Amino acid sequence: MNHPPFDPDLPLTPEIRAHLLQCPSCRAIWEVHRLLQSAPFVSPPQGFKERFVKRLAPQAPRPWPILLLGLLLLLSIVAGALLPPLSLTRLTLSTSYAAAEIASHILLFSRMTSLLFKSALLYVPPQLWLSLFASSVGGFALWLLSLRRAQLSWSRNR
Amino acid sequence: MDEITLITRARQGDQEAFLALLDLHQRAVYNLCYRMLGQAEDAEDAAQETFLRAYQHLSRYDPRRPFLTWLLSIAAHHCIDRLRRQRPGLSLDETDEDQTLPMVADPSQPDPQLHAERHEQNILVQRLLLQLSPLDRAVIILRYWYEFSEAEIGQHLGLTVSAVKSRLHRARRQLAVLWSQQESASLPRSAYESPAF
Repeated sequence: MNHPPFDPDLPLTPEIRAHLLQCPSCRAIWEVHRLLQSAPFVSPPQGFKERFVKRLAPQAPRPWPILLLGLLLLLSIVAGALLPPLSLTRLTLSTSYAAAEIASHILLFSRMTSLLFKSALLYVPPQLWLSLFASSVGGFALWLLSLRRAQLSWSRNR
Repeated sequence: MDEITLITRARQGDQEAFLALLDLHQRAVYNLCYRMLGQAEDAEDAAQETFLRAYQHLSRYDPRRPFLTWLLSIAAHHCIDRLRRQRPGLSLDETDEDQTLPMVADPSQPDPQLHAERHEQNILVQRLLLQLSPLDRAVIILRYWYEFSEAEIGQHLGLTVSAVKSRLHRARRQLAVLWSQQESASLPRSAYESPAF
């Protein structure tokens, strides 16, 4: 082949036709070009979409981590308000350093909540206290309702 | 519902809208994966992975580009990575001939002989394609099945236009040599083999 490379995308002029009849390597390129042009699209097997939906299911966000986080927060608030403060030294001695680090943060939070709760008992009048309690219960109920709706929506999407 | 609306809704978390997009593009994506990998099972897995990645990274999609182009880009890169990880190339014996026939069956084609010829052509095309390197294969597939320009191919595969031209030329030449070898070895002459110029 003593000529520039054959480009099958070029229009087929009479000169090129004549050349193709004489040059086997260019003719082979032309044949392969035609073969590729006529090759069909291959369709996916039946049920492709259904299998994708199954594969997608674990990807959808689940409400459980939010629920767990919320419950932990609530528990720490309740613990801070009701339980006497624990000794951090005892905790540090009995558990590993990493666990004590986490525990120290939780205890700090619970102590702060406890302090706030006790101060509030002294300075907040009973009527305001009651209304605060009622609004907290209402807020908590709304939160649970929103979680339930999120869970239902997630189940529907599966 | 048009594609732009479906994309907008899918980006807002509407799974049904994304599934409608899958309906629209599954054939194009699957075909690319099949042509790249040569096995129905691998192709399905790669096509599913493509849609999964698209779903997870919808926020990265640039709406100025066609959605299908974005999907094909994901699919091509995934298949190239997969081929590079798995094996350097499939031998002729590894092509998935048995599974090709039902997938290319065309109900609008009543002539069994023509259908059989097309089936043979399809097998031959797949055999030839699988002899190319993954990147050359992707260039050929995007050029012939999706009619991408050289610039578009370069954009999607991270190549310059001259590199695409060079790969296209090299791949065609390689395919022509392989085709000539097959021609002289065994296959009887059929419609696509006769000179038509």
